[in-house]
Order: sequence, then C-alpha cells, then structure tokens
Amino acid sequence: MTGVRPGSAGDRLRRPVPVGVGAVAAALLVAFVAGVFLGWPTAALGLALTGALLAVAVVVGQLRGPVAQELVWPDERHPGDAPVATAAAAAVATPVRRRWVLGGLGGLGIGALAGVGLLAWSGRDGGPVTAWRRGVHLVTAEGQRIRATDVPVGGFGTVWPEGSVRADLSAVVLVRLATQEAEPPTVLDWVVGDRIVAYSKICTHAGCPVGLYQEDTDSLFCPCHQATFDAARGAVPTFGPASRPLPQLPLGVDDDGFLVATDGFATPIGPVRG
Amino acid sequence: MTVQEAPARPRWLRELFVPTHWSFLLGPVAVVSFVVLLLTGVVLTFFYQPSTELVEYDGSAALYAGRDLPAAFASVVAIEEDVPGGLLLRRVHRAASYLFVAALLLHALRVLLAGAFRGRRFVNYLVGLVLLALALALGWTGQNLVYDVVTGSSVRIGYTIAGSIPYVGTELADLVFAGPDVDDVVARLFWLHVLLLPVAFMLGLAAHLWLVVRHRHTVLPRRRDTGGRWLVAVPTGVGLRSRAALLTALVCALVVLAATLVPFGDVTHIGPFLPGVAGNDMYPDWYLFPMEGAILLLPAVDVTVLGATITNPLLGGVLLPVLLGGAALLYPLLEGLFRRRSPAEQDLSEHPFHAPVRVAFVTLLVTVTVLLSLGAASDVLAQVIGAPVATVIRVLRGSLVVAPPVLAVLAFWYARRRSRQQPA
Repeated sequence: MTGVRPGSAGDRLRRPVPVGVGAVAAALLVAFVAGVFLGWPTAALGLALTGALLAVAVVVGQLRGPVAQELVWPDERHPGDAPVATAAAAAVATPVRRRWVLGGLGGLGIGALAGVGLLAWSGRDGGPVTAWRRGVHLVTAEGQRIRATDVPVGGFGTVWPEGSVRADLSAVVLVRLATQEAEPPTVLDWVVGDRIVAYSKICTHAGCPVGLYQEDTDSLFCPCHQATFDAARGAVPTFGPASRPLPQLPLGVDDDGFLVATDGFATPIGPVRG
Repeated sequence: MTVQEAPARPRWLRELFVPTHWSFLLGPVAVVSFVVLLLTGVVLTFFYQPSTELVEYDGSAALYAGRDLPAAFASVVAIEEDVPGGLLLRRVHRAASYLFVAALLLHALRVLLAGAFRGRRFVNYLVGLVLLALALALGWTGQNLVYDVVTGSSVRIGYTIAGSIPYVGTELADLVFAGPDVDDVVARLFWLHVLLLPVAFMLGLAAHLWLVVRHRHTVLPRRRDTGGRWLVAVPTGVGLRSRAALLTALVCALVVLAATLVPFGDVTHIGPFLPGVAGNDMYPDWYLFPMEGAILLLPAVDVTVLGATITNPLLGGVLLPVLLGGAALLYPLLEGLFRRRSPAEQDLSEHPFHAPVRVAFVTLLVTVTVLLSLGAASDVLAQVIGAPVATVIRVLRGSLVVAPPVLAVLAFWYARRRSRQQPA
C-alpha cells in the first residue's frame, strides 16, 4: 500500500515541514487581510491569497492519513447478481418509491398546465408602445431639434421623440441615404427630400439596437446577430435572421424646417411575438 | 489485498465507494466552486444596488467623474474601484462561475460517456440536467446585473426568446422580465439571481448528493493480466475530511490565481447600458454561446400556423435548446431499450469505446454545440480568417447540417474498432 504514513495526525503535525508551511500559510493570510485594509493592489492581494491557499493545501497533504488505499476485489459476479456496490459493502439501498416519483411528476404536470392556463387567460396587449405621435419633433440625445438641411450623409445615428429622450423602445435611426434616392417598398410620402428616412432602431429579430450604417451599400446592420436591412428599400432584411423590415417612421418637416413625425409607427416595433 | 477496517462513521458514508480516477472529481470541483460563488456572492450583495435610477457618480474612477450613471452600474464600478479588495472579489466570483459551469458540463459529459445514467441512476441523471439548466440561468441572470452595455441587448434577447413562444410567450416574458423595458428587468433578475435560483440549486444539489449515496457510486472495472477483471474503488469514509479540505484549498487557490492573472468581467472600461447604444463586440458569457449562435445561424423564418407565429428566435432560442436537452434526457431511455444490461453490469463505469452508439450520440451533441458556439463568434472568426461575415455564416450553416452526422459516424466506427481490439 503506497501513500500510507505511520503515526497519528498529531505526530505528523509535529514534523518540521507542516509547521514551516503552516507558518507561511498563516503569514500570507495575515498579509492578505492586512492588504485588504491597507488597500494593496489587486495583484498583491491575489498572490498572497493564492499562496496562503496553496500552503494550506500542502499542510493538508502532509497531514493526510492512509487515504490512497484502494479497495480492489475480483469481479466474480454473474449476470443477474446484486449490484456490485451492494455486494462490496452489504448496502441497504432501497429503491426510490416509484409511486412518489410518478406522483411528483403528475403534480408538476398539473401545476404547469394550470400555470399555462393562467398565463393564457391573463390577456394580451398589442405590443410595445412608443412615444411617437403626430407632430412630435425628432431630437438628438441632447434634446436639440433637427433641421432637415442639417442631416449629414449617413445620418445622425440615434434620434428620439422630443420629451422622451432615451426612452428605450422609441429609439429611431435617422439616415440620409448616400448612394441613391429612396424607392419602394419605402413609403415615399414619409421620406423628406427624397433621401432622409427614419426607421425604428429596435431590431425585428431579437430586439437589439440596430447599431451600424454602411454608407457604400446604404444598409443598416445589427451587431448582435448580423441582421442586415436595406435602408433605401423600406429597410427590408437582406441578410441574417431577421424576417421583417424595420418599421418606418412617418417623417415630415414643420414650418421652421425641423424634422417632425407626421404620425406614430404604422406597424408594431420590435421582434415578432409568438 | 486486504480491506482495511473502515473507521466507525455514519453507515451511509462507510458504504459509499468512489473509484480512483480524476474524472470523478469534476462533480466535487463544481460543488466547491458553488460554495465559493455563494460566499463571494453574499459579500457582493453588501455593495451592489439593484436599481437603474440615474445617480451622480462620485467615486474615484476618473472616466465617470460627475456623470450620471445607472445606480447598478455605479455600484459595480464602486466595488471595482473603491471597495477594498473588491476588484479581486468580483473577479473571483466571475472566475468561479466559469469553473463551476465548465466542471458541470464536463461532469455531465463524464456521466453520459461512462453510462452512469443507467438503471436506477436515471432519476439522478434527470436531477443533474435540471441543475445544469439552473446553473446556466444563474450565470445569465448574474452577468446582466452588472447593467453594462451588453446587458441591454442581452436582456432584450432573453425577452424576445421568451416572448416568441406561441400563445403564452408574451405573458411568460412579462412575468419573468417585468416588461420589455430594460429598466424594469434588473430588480427582477436580482431576486432571481440571489434568492430563487440559488435556493433551487441548493435543494436540487441536496437531492442529487442524497441520491448518489442512496444509489451508490459506480465503480471502475480494471483489467488485469491474470485472474480476469478486478473492481477498484476507495471507501469514501476514510480520510474524507482531509481529501475534501485538500480539494477545496486547491480549487480555491486555482480560482484566486486565475482571478489575479486574468481580468475576469472587469466592466469599468466598458461603460453602462444606455438606451440606443450598442457596441460592436458584445458577447454573453461563453456558456451561452450555443444559444446566441443558434439564433444567429438559423435563417429568417416567419410562418403563421394555427395563430402561432414561428420565428427565428423560437426555432433557435427555444426549440433547438429544447431539442438538445430533450435528446440528452431521452437518450438513456432509448439506450435502455436496445442495450440491456444486468443491474450488476450497470454499476460499472463503462469505458465509452464499449458503447459505440453512445459515443456517436455524444459526438453529435458536442459537434452541434461547438458549431453553434462558433456561430456566436462569427464576426470574430471573420476577422481572424479575413473573410466576409456572410461567408463565415454560410459555411457554418452548411457545417451544422453536414458535420454532426459525419463526425458521429466516424466516432461510431472508431469506437467500434477500439472496442473489438480491446473487449471488455
């Protein structure tokens, strides 16, 4: 039998190696606690704690009794014999009551059905509500209204309904098309100056913000799952997992030349619901 | 070989035998990391604020001086920058969570490959699958408490996937997430992460360990040159405390060292979640890559059947995980129908090569999971290879159809050959 050391745990503890390493462990642990209060850098704290734990492991390893022994016995069982662990240890295992298991599963099933019924009964609403209405101005994140003539090629990125800046689900991406004029299925009445379009920023795939605009192809691009939309053609999906276009915001210009919504979104924004 | 008299201990402990092989330590490693997670998590709750109210930041991070930050993110930055030892504490919590999930996954793989799910142990295999699902839920809820720039998209994706379930999806999503606004979600996720899910996991873990004791551990067959087959195990009761202490010290040392060397989950430089803001490199933790990859790789679908709209998030986020989990759940039952063994034989930890179909099944499962995970990182892959993202996605879609069955057949063929060379 290997790995067996003579003597009791007390004898082993009195040998010099465990005492020395144990002292190191204690010192490092004290250093760690002191370091926390003294505001040491993370690296010093981490190394002190790692060292203390390793030293503890060494001490435990030194103190270990005869633990490496294996039980080895010939496999003399025949098919149909009692399970081997039972044979080795005269175990008293009794099978888990089948009735309890079945009863538990049945109870879970009934509970799940009741839950589903409750959920289905609790009624549904018509999807997320945005702050866009007729006459609501488009503003930047700083709350500044936007003149149609000031929209640069490529656009502003994210704009918001006035009074609801940073209202998550109302985020809109405002774009001046770089390569061509808007064409159907874009609703042309909602386009300003043939090239300025606004779409909901909430991806119709999984609801991430549609983050990127590629000028060379006039496409909007969602960084989460690579969904790509054609901004010049009603933001229809051209690649990736999205199945529906980004809803287009009815866009117009007020008497002072500021961009304004002429209505709310015609279709629900965000992902399709089940 | 004489069997040394076991010391007087509780009878159940004396009669529990565990074979000597490193792979049987995966479960205990997961338990130790769970304890580390509990302890560090409790301390983290002293400093964390589950609120999205904007507060003026007055900590020592120069980046945010005077800015309005969501309280949750501000409290995480405070833990990193101003709480003594807080940065190490957060990193240890994160590193332990990675070790926790990795150990659980490898443990599940070990149980599958060795056939330790057979016979009466099937019940415990089911408990184990539930524990794995709870662990993934714990990970997801935890990483979103940070309220950094990834949280917004991550929570929205979770809401979309839950909401894509036909008929009850919207209500279910509102129940779990308290509505589609990311602002409302953090408080809900906080209670899930610090109370409901940990308690559920502890109850499940207690049942799991109790069933291991009750069913006895599987034992390892060892081939000898003469005298036929020998069985090998270690009586757990002997030296249990010192072995547990040794394992605990070593796992803790590993986690602390990893947390010291690698900046796990540091968020100060990432920035808080702000509506409408999206980064280009936003990824969930690695164990959620398969789900993320599934909704990225599967094509766009929009079909309405019987009033239910079937979309990509439903297929990739709900059906595919359910299919994979269901396959893992049902495989033991199917194997039990076609590969009958005596109860005595079921107590042996089998060498995988002796069950080629099982090897093929595990290969299929692992290949699908790995390819889906690659899908979640397809933009990184595209950068590394230098190909367009669209090409990478198309190649991965093709591989998802072709590679799993091909590799499964190869694995079956290889395992059968090895099994014939070296019969049990």
